[in-house]
Amino acid sequence: MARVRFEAVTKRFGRTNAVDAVSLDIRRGEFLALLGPSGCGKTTLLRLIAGFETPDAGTISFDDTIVGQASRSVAPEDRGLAMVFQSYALWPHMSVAENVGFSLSVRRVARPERERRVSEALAAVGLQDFASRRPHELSGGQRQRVALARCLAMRPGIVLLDEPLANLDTHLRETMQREFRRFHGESGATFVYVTHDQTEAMSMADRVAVMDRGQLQQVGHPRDLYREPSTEMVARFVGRGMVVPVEVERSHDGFCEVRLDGLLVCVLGAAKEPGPGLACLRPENLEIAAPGDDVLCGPVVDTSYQGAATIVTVLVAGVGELRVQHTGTPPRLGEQAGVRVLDAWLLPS
Amino acid sequence: MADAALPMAPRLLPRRLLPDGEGLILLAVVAYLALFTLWPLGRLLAEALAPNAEGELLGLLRDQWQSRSFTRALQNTLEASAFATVLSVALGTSMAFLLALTDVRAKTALTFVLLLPLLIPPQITALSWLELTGPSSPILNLLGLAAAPGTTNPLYSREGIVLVMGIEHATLVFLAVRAGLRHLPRDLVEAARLAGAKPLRATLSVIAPLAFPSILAGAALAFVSAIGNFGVPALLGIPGRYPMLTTLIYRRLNGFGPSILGEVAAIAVVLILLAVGGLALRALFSRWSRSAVERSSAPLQPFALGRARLPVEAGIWLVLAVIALLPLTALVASSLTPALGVPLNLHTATLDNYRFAIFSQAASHRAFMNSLMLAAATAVVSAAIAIPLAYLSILRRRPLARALDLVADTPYAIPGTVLAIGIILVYLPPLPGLGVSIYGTIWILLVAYLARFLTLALRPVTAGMETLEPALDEAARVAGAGPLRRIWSIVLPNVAPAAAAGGLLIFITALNELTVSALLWSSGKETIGVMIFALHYEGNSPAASALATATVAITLLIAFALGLLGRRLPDGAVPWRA
Ligand SMILES: Nc1ncnc2c1ncn2[C@@H]1O[C@H](COP(=O)(O)OP(=O)(O)OP(=O)(O)O)[C@@H](O)[C@H]1O
Ligand SMILES: [Mg+2]
Repeated sequence: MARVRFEAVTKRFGRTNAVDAVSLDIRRGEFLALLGPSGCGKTTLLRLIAGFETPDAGTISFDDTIVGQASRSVAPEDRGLAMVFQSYALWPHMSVAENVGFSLSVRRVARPERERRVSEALAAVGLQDFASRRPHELSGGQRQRVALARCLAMRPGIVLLDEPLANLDTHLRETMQREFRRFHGESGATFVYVTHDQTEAMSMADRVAVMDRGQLQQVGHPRDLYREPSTEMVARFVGRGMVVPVEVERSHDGFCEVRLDGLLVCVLGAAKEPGPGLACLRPENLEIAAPGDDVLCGPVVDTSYQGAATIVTVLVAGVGELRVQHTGTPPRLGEQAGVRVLDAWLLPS
Repeated sequence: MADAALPMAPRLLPRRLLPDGEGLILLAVVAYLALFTLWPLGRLLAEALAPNAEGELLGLLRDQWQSRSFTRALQNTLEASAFATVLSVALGTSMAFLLALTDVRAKTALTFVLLLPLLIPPQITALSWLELTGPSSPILNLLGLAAAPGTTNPLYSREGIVLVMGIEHATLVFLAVRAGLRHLPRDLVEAARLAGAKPLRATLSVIAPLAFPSILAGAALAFVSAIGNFGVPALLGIPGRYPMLTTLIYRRLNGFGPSILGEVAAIAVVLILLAVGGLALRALFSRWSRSAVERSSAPLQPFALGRARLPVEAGIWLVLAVIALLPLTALVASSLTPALGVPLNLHTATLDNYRFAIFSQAASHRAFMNSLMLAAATAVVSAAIAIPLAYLSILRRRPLARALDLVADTPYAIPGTVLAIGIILVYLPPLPGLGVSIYGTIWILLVAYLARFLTLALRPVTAGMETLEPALDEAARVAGAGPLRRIWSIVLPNVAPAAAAGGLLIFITALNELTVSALLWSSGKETIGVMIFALHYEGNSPAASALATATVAITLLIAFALGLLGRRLPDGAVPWRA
């Protein structure tokens, strides 16, 4: 269990800043999800923690020891952490038990102790009967469990996971998500979990760190990210938010009165002074209403059936396309519809 | 965003003074290649570019290039290599087209015969041809076609050199063209046929132009191999008074000894230039052939020959019989002949030559044992070096290791004669610190073999390493394993088959080595190649044939083992499965 601290860490590949001046404090024993679109630098950040990459600037420390900075860096083999790779990286020439026990034999753990810990780890993932199999004789989900058991047997203070569920089907993914949570609780280790799937990040993590183009956008509890995104990118990326231009009239006690296409609406958030701003709207906080003066109006340009609800897209002049979650019979294409804003969030400027 | 500041100042990392474990391994590989490859080749260049006795800049080089014997040898080399290349291209291309594009049967057997020259060294091929065409030829005598006793063998001539080298290097063109044809997308030909082209027309107007760059690439390789060939010019050209560059160097060093090392180094530079030029052309043509067809699709469907199939097959087998099987048969027959000139039949056939060549004649027996030992040691050491080198360059992507990869290729790409001169230059003087010279001992042969053949182990090991996912190594690092432990527990078990293939390849190549040994051997430190050469010159061709046949038998056995192993190897690990 360790605390991982990034201070102004930058990692460049050629001209691109894969990780750009990131400062981040990962708390002891927490489950942190790294979320972001493809190519935003999540894997690079994880590999910086593991020691596979050395920062070009800034420092990385575990507890109160610097482990990585431009001039010198602790080798991955000396960092005492564990990692689950996206491809699992199970050694094909070793049996399941040998895979799980490798780190122990490297550390010269005596055989009886080693065997005990291997069978414990295998039992924890429900694979005690598969100890002598080779990785290629296992299904995808079983391989994933072996990779996890290999981690657990090390009893690491930090566990790094790089999109570990990307190769599994939806059903298996949900099962494994629960298992990861459970292991996090039982091991007490600090988990850093990379994913580009926001549902996964929101449902599993204590805190989520959102990245975009190498930069850290926001770190916080999933609920805060959803309710109070601090940048336009987070607003759009998390919960499929829509960002629309507004004119702030007044701000008081965490609320603001803003004009949206001439219509006065009350939204959450604070603004220092009146003027132009951006608000985040979400489909589930909008409502289809009869056209009128008290709602935003426009033609319906698309309807998309989603099961429990239908997403109705209304083109509002001066605002743009608004997606509205609607239950019941949706309006027809081309018909005029009104959109009522139930709740919204003013992005901090 | 960040939490409160750290309660206390973080401990700083100790500054590292020594390289880490991986750095040490890299350093060891650098030292190995510097000692065996970079230093000799560097010395050779320095020597060749040195001023002459009069102190003129680049004088040695100029003096040599103006000498009559050099210009004659250069001209002969270019001429014979060019003609041999034409023959190689004609043979190799037609065979590749017939085997890849038509439905002739028994392709595996045909390919095996076509690839024999990869396994049988030039001097044994030359010897076989001499046995086939000479006045005492067991086969021609059987047919009543042999020349009268006492006549000079017609192969002791430029034409003989062209013929044997041309056939020997046809394999290289065959492999290049076959690889090129395999990469041609099927739909191009199918489109041509839908457009109304008959198979022959489709071949000429679609396939041939697309295969042209690979033909040129094969030709460049055949030319480079001909330039650097020593076995054929040595066996055919020296008696035929047709000196080539490699034999000129050999005769000068043999005649005058190490005192003229500077002069032969200057000649060697020309060989290097020719080889590098040829290989650069080959790289260019290969790139061109790959860019011509950038897509991949299902491979070509062979054309049905219909009623022409049987005659075509007969033609192919006839050609292969003449160029490959007959000479080998002559070699075996000669090895069974009791004495030169005695006709061979069931009553006269004897195994005495084998007993003589392998066991009873001291020098020959020694040569046999020396070669076996040298080949085994080279195979084991090279495989052991290839694994960490390929690991550092492929899995760890260390830039220095990637550069060393190229260094390791050089001694095999340039003519062996050149390498041998560099090795003499460096290892003739006493070793610094030890005060003894390894010149005149078996160790200098080992050094030369280690330099020359490393690449043969490195290629399959590299191919094997490329199939490994870097995450396998990274997972072991995370598990706490240091570099040696990772190489031993993770890498080695996965590339062991490839390393074994490389080792076997080195074993058979080193067993048959002549070019380098011819310049480095000394009395008591003979090798098989040298001994075959010597026995032949002494006029004991039955014994030479016996030694050659035994070597070919061992080689084929190991090649067979390699074939079995081949199924577990990645593509490209063994040259003939490219
Ligand atoms: N070894 C490397 N060499 C050069 N560029 C690299 C390397 N590794 C990553 N990059 C670049 O750095 C950027 C961040 O890559 P990274 O793999 O960290 O993204 P990611 O967020 O993990 O993406 P994904 O979700 O697709 O896995 C990308 O632009 C990538 O092309
Ligand atoms: Mg990634």
